[in-house]
Amino acid sequence: MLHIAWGYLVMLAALSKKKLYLYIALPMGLADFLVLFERVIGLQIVEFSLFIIAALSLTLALLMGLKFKNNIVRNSSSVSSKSISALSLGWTNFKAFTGYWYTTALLALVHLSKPDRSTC
Amino acid sequence: MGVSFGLVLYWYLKHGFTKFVLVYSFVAYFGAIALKYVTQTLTLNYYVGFVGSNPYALGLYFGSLTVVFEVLGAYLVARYATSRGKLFLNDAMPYGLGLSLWENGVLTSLLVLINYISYYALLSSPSTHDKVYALLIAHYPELFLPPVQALPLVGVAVVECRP
Repeated sequence: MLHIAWGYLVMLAALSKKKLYLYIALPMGLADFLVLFERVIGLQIVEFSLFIIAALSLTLALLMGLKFKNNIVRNSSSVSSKSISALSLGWTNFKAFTGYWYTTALLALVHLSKPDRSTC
Repeated sequence: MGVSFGLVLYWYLKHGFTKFVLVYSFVAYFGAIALKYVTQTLTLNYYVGFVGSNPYALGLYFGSLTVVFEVLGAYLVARYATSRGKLFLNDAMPYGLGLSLWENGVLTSLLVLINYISYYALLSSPSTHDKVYALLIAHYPELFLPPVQALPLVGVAVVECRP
């Protein structure tokens, strides 16, 4: 469970380039700390403690994964809503239209203002 | 072993994943184990000489090695793979399952399985039966427990959570 948890989190960190996921995953490796206490406090207690830590780690990793996916959905929906906004689309077309006519008119003026060399 | 392989197979059939994910998790896991082994060989004696048998200091030592080599190493491999466009978001969970598979399903289980097959073969042979039985009962008496007493140990082995 611990391997699954930190493997999942480091992949999220690598994909999103956000170190937060890595910082959450790193302390999970410290669970090895308990292994040496097997002889002191007993196998059952150590295994039970590790089970609790591993289950909590996996739950945390899954919650972070859910948050990661929600962010992706939110970002993509905001991008898509921007791109399909009727007002935005209209404004873009209007700018393209006016830009085209403005450029055409400017070229015409430049052409007309030039002296006719053929008559010289 | 069955649980580790079963989980990977289940995920592949249910969600699918890039085949490279098992290769990268293999590199991350066994690379980390090799580096841990080398580091321990080089430093453990000095460290034990310094801190003695203090379980807190030794626990911190082993925990730190796992943090650096297994977790940070897994991150570096994942970063390399994602930056090269080899792994994607749907490979995140299989990457973790892969790390778990290589430790619990292969490194730990495969060696244990080979050991048990050897014990069984040696115990079945009349020429080695007595010697091997005496050796095993002295060192691993839990192997000969009746099923009811062995079941909790099997349960512990299945939920084996240590990294």
